[in-house]
Amino acid sequence: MPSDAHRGLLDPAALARLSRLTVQARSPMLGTMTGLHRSATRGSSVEFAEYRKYAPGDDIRHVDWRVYARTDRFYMKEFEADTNLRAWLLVDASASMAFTSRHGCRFDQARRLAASLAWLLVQQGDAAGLVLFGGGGTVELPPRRSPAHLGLILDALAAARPSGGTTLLDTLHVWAEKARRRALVVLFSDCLADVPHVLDGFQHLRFHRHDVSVFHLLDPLELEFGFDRPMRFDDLEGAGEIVTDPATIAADYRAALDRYLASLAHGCREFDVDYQLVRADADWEAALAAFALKRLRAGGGARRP
Amino acid sequence: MTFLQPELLWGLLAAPLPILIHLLNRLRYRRIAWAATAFLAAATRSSSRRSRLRHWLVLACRFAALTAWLLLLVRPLLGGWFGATLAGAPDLVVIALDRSASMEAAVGDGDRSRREFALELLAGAPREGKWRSTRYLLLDSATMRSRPVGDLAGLARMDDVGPTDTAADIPALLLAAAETLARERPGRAEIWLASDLQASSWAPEAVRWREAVAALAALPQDLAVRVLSLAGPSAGNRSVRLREARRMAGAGRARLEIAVEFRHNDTRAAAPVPVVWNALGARAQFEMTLDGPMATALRALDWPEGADQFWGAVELPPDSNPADNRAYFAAAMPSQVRAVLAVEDPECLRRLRLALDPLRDGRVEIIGAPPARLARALATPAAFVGIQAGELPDEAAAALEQAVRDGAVALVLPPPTAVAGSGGVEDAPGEPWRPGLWEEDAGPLARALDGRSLPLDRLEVFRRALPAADPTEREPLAMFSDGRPLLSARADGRGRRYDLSTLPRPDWSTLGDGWVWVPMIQRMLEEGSRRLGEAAMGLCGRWTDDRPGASWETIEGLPSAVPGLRAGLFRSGRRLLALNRPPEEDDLGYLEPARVEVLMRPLRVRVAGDLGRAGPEEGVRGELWPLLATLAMLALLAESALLAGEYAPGRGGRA
Repeated sequence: MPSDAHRGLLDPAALARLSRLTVQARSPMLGTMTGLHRSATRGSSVEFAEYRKYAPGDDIRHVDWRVYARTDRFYMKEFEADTNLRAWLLVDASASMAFTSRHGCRFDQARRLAASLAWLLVQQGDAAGLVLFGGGGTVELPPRRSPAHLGLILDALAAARPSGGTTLLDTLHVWAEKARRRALVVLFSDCLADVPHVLDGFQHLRFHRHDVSVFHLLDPLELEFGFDRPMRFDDLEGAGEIVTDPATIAADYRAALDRYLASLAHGCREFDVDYQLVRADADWEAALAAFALKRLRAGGGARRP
Repeated sequence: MTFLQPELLWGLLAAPLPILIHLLNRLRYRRIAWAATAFLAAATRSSSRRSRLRHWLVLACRFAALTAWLLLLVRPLLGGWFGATLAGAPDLVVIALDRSASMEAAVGDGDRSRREFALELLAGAPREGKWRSTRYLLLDSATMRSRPVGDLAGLARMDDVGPTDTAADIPALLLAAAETLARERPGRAEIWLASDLQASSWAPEAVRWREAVAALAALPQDLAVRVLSLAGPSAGNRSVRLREARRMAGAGRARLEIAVEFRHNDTRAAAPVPVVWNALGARAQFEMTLDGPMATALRALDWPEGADQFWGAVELPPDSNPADNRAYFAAAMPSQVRAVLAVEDPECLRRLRLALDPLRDGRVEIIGAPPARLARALATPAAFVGIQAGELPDEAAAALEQAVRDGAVALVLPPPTAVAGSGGVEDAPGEPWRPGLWEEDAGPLARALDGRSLPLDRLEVFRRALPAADPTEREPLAMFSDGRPLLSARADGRGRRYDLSTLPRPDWSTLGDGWVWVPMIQRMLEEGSRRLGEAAMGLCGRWTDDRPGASWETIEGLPSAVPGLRAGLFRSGRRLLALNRPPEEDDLGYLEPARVEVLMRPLRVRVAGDLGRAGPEEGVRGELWPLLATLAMLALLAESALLAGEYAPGRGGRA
């Protein structure tokens, strides 16, 4: 169970409910251990994969003798391999994640989602790693399966403070190269950057066959822009201030935001990135459950160990 | 453009309030730490002209709506074609009804009186269509009181629209209408004046006309006057009027001498007219032949033995105007009256004493009082006060004013120290001045009982001192041939003040010879003593009871709980009252419609025999409020539409 330092990040009751679900990879993974996820290689699970002709050097234990008896030919019976999952949780810790409204702080929501997902992954025997990136530097914890490592992840999340400009684009490209083996990459960010560049990063990750998911965190205030009096907007990342009457620019703001969301969602569909827009006033547990269930449907169901 | 509520124009200062609030709000911004600044910057950069335009349009709409509402409160009026388009039916119609005795004359050969016909025409005025929302107020010449007319069709059934024996004062009636309109403040108004255009009621020469027309012209709202003219021949009318009834006590039995004036407009051959003389209820009929349009009859009735009061009436048979067929008289045994003389000039004082008590029978108690003691002398009611113009002590002036208001007659003579060339005193240049015109029908210079005029034409004036006060306040009773007043009068309360321009001294005039002086002073004394006697004669509409609340019973004439508007004989305890219609009601002169229009210039007035043709429509000014209300509504609707685009539904709440 979580320690006192992690109580703000983990909700035992919610985790107990979420633990009935598994977080399934949508594509075959290349793990080092036996696990819940399909492997990119053939293995020895009980799930039949295909027949192929015998080639010299093959292990004759896998020859299907019944087929040989009927056809007088050697066919090798192959089975799916089950492997474990390596997950990189990329948490945006730039200053824009510190946006706070009456619905709460965006970074707190990101931390809560990342911590809960890490707990779920470790609980199902997968390896979870953490990358906290932002203007204040990058914290990297490589994927491990051990509960002790989970404690390190939670400690790092609890200690993180959003600051500085965003390094989202660099981080996506760096980790696309750095995580050489297929992995589940989950991004928790407000994605407030140029959409084409963000999509470049996603494409780079997908090029290396990573299973990419995005939790796009936005506040209702940002989405609806419901101000009724003149406001002074101070940029969280130090890009200056704007004094304006929101009523004057509301329509243009919403139009720009709609274009941005539409192009981001479209790019994610194009590059097969699992995209979820999470509002700050939404239930984070429901968001995680939806994330897991969607993966179950996409992966054809999970096998309990 | 004029305004009905100009004092509210200050409210227009509040019109820029939306802009001020907008600017203040811009200064009073709220801070927020924001992440999605990129979209904000893009939106601010690309904040389209349309968006800014819409914002300013919203402000303009609010400004327009507020301005329109404020202007609506100010109630502007607009002229020209636009005003005429907006005008529609008047908001308020003041029905001014002439209820004078002459309005009881029949219309043509019918049975309806002019007043009844006028009410019938007024009741048939349009009440539907654009006239639906019009309010009506009735104002009548007898009571000068305005009251709302609930149902125009029932106008004839309202109180105070019945016949009276009063005279009408049309300028005063219009002045009252102006006051009513100023009080009611309608948008567009009309005055419907129903009158027979009798010259004596309209008094075209009266100074009051200027005041009335100016008051009406000064009204801010659009005003039209429709004069419903009921003038026309009323053939076969005869009238009787009591000129004077005086108790004459000679060596033998006392008698009541009654002078009666008959008039008729019957152009047919003169026929004997049965005249009924009613004395203390005993009726005696005599026939009288009216040779000319006017005739005077003098009759002496024996004063009943032992009676201290005598009353009666002279009656003519019914004709086209039943209101002028009776004249009532009342008289009582004379009682001693007081006359106070504050005249310092011994010659004038002597002649006043002689004129006041020519027979020296002690009926008149003459008190000589210097101005300083005038107040004390007037502590006891006096019928006549003679003074010489000049500075009076405040106390004496106040006492004199009060005495006149209470019914006394004051004769003001030129100051005793007046010398030529000072204080308006002038000597005749060569030939003495002579009176040119004087009032012979009533007043102190009226004809004698036998119909003969006073010999004013023989009067010569060598020196005169014209009153310093504004002569327009006074009614001239006699004027010199150069138009300057010889004798003028001013009513004040129940009494009257007479100003004489010369003195009864040989160096001033021949007035002291007595031919004019004695009857003039005697009539003034009689006028002032009327309130003191037990028998009084008054004129309908002008008589006021000095004991309000007294209970009266009708002896002759139509029963009336409170005497005032109808002629008749009334009794209250020992008091006897004979009320007759004012003499000017027998005037047969009528104004021409063109004269009425000239008289009421620059008002928009039309005179016609029916309301439909008496409607001036050109130059109408209309009230702008319907247009302003529409404008305000449109501005608010436009603002709503613009804001609806800005805060589209489905976008959620506010921060």
